[in-house]
Amino acid sequence: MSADDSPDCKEPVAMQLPEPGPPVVPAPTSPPSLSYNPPESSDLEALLSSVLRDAYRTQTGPADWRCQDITSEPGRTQVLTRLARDLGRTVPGSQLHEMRRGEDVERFYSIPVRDKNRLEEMAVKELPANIKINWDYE
Amino acid sequence: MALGMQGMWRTITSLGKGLSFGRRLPSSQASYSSLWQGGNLEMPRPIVLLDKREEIESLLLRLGTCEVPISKPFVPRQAWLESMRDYDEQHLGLVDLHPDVFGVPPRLDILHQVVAWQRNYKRISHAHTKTRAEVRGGGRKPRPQKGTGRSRQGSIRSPIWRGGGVAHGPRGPKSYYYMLPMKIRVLGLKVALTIKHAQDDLHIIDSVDLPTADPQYMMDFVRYRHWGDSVLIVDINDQMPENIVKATETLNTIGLIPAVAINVYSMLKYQTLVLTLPTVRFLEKKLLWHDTRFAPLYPYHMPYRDIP
Repeated sequence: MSADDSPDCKEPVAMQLPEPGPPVVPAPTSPPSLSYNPPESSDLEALLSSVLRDAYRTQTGPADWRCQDITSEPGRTQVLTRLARDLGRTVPGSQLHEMRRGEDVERFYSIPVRDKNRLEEMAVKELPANIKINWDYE
Repeated sequence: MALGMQGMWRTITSLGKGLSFGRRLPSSQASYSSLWQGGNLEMPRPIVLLDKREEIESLLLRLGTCEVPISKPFVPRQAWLESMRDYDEQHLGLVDLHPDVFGVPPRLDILHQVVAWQRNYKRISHAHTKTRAEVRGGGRKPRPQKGTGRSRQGSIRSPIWRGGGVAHGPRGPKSYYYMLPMKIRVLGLKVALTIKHAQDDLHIIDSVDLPTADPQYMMDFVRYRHWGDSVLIVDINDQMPENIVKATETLNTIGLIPAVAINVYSMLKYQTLVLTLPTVRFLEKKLLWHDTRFAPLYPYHMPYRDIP
């Protein structure tokens, strides 16, 4: 405070905190498409059988993976998350309770999903020269 | 309400996605005390953010099941547990949802009743007109009864006169207050939750943590996850992390409410409903109690010791 203080006492100095870096914001990405084209039936069967066998390896289940009961945890979560990751389509919440056996999952993943209506599909395709789509309609 | 209603209503289309219709038997609990966990209006503590994967998984396994037992042969509905911390954290686990809350028959008439009640019970109409007695003047007979050749009139403020009183006009202020039975209101909440789940408009998150307070992140996130045009986020407490509050403050299509403020009108107004996991358990506990309660000995708004 004054010159009478001992020479060891210094003026308080503001602490040098490190500069806060930019906030860790995940980079924006474009929304994934909701369309789904199922793989070939043989590929789908192979994938499903391997996933179900991995998840329910310890249990003595039925020989056919289609009859495997997938309501018990933690195999259920493992099966559904792996299929969602591999096939790019998640079972929606309203249909989760219907997935009880392997055949239910197979039926779900063999149905294709389109997210474009017919007009948009036509716009993307190659059209004959005498067809034009007029987007400005009232 | 801040949003215009016409733009935000969605017609409830086909509901044939695996709803089980029919009457439900009362839940088969061993004793009623198993439902009541003691303490009046005690709310569960908020979920703690954990770093370790194993701890998260064990916690999810514990929280993934319903606290209230489900009577056979009904099976629980399920939903994915998601997170708002990153764009791709969509499959953290599976959450069981009690079928007597998230799988009731879709009673659209109950929804209509509850929404109409919510709109009307707070309404006070202040429309008021003066009668011929209240309009200033008009005490004297304007002309003699006979002899003038004109119609006979008693007062210049009678309703047939210009500037006269109104005969059968509104006599406000008028209240439109009425109360629907408690069980109808409870059933309305259950039906709304069921329909949101059946139409894939219900999402469950572990907590309301955001990596940043930027509203743009919130908009990008909602668009990435295909959550719809408007989102209602419900947390268990009214004290929420700073990031989510700042991110949603300036956005008028994303609403943020505590669990005690959930209502059918808001659930229908916003396209998507996002609940945290403690909120789901809180709602199940509160709504399921009404299925097995006795009639009150004294009104429920007075303190009870053993109500959830």
